[in-house]
Amino acid sequence: MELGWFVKSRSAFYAVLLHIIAAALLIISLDLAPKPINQPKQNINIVNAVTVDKKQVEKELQRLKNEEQQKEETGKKRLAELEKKQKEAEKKLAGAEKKHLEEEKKAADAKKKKELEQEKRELDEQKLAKLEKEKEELEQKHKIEEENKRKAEEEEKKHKAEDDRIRKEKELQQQLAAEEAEIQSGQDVQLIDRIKANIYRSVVNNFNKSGLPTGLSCILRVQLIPGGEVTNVTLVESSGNSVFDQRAVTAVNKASPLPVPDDIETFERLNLRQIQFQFKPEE
Amino acid sequence: MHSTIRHINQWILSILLFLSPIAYGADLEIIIDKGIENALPIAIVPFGWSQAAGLPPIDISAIISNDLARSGRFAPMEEQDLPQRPNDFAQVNFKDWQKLGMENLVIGQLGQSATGDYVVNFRLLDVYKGKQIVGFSIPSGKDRLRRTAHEIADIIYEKLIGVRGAFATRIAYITLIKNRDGTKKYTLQSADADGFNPQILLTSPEPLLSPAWSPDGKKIAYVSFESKNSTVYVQDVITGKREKIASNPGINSAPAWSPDGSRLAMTLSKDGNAEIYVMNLSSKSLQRVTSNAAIDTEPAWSHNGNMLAFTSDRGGGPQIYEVSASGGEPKRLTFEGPYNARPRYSPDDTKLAVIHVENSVYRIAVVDRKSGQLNILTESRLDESPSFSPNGHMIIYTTTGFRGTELAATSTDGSVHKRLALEVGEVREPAWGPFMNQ
Repeated sequence: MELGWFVKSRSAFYAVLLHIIAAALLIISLDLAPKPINQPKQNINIVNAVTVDKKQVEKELQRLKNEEQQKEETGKKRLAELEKKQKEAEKKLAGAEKKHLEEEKKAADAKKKKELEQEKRELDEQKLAKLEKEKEELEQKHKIEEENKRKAEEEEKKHKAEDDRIRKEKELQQQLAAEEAEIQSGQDVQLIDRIKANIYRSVVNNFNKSGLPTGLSCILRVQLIPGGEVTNVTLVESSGNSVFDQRAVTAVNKASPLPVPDDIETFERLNLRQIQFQFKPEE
Repeated sequence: MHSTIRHINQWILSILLFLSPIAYGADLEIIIDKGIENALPIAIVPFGWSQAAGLPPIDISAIISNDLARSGRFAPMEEQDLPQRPNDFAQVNFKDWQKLGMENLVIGQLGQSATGDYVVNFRLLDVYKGKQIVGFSIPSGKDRLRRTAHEIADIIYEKLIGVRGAFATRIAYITLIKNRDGTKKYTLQSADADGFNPQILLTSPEPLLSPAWSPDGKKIAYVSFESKNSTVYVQDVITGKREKIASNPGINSAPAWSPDGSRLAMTLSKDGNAEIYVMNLSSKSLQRVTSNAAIDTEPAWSHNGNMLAFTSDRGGGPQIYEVSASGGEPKRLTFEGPYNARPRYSPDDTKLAVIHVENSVYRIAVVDRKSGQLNILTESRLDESPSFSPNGHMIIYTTTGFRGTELAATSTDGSVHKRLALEVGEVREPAWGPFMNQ
């Protein structure tokens, strides 16, 4: 829009300029013709000389008239020529002008074109720049978005990694716990065997079977507290011989505190609060 | 997928752990298949005495302590080691006794009423339970106090050993006193099982042999040479009244009561050779049990009444044989050593106590009737005349050392030997009397 006005006003300016140049060229061509300015002076001189004879005058007049006519005709002719010339000149000028105009126009066009091109280029450039900028911005934006996205992804990844890590850790821990439990249970079996052996020894050394009939058996349920102290002994199954049962109870009581691990956690894990004893001495 | 497998594994593991009976879930189970065979630790605190002035007539705790120690099954604490001397339950500090490993504690008091009667209170306590096992208040008299103490020992024995104690029983034996003028004095005596309270039943310048208690403990059969020839008598312990049972020509010896007390097995040689006969005491009828050219003697009657064990040299040297009380073919029981003699059945008839002689060393041995396995119990050079206590836990016998022939007792397993203190002379042929029911 802006561009249209600019181009129009420039065209008007060029038209005016062209007419001025054309007028200037016309004046120059008149100047180039036979000196019309001297003629009137001559005429004045003649007139003064011819005034004495009327006939002559008349003749003169006629002649003058003729002359004038001739002159007029010549002038006319000359004007026509001039006009013709002018016309030609004009024509020529017009052609030149036209050419010039054309050239001008061409130039202008070219210029305009150039300008347009320039403009376009500029515009394009601008556009490009803008586009570039936009692109850049877009890219920037994209970049930021990308960055954000990346960050988000990274974050997510990180989270996921963290989650994974936690999960894996958890699994590992579970696995470890399971393995530990397995190992623990394996160790516990050994530990229990050891504890059993220790308690066995301790009770056997206090189980006085002196004078007791053979072939008897009784079962005791014994309650312990951490540290191995016997808190309660229950006769679950009697041998039928009260002295035998009593000796068994005494053996456990006398062996108290039973040799159990000092560590309460182990004590609890191994479920040592209750132990069942079967007293069944071999003959 | 892996985690699933792992989960399954864990699941299986936890199931396995759950099922594992050792560590998780069920109680720990321990089988006690062995034990020790030690004398039971027991502390008998000197009994309190109600009369502040004067000493108590007897030391009851000492009598109980000696009884239990003599049995070989108890290890009474020395008096000076007692951590405290309570007479009441309330005074007992069980922890003090537990620290010393004392399983049982006996406390009590001897009281005398204004009328002069005595009463003995005692309690047997379980140190580890902190409870009374048994407690009695026993009326007594001055002459009965020792017996009351033995009865308390019997109760303790029965509560802690599981078999009736045989402390409140009597023994019979023969003593020999050699006088300075060369004459001899034989006595038939009875005494408490610890040798105290002896009572002379018969005195004779001629040998007295083989006392045997009737099953009810009221009579004693024995052999006397007072008429120069051996004669079998049965004498009432309380009244002293006696009856001549067998005085045949030749040997009349080794009386043995049937468990029902109606018959007496003896060795008689009235038919020319020493054989085993059974006499019905009411009818005086005789039944010959053995018939062999060798010497058959020293019969013992099984407690079930079915069998007679005796010594016979029919196999060459003296060995133990067994025959049905109604007669039949005897069966040899002993095969270890060249000389086994004078059998006595254990109260449960599973064993025979015998004299086992090897290289002129006489020892007391026990033979298992089923297996024939022989277990030598004593270590001296001349141990003779074994006799089972009525509970079968001890054997009384004679042992001859530099002080002469004395009474000794051993536990049936041979772990404990105690000499019985008797006042005078040489002591022979002890016979442990039966339980005497109150």
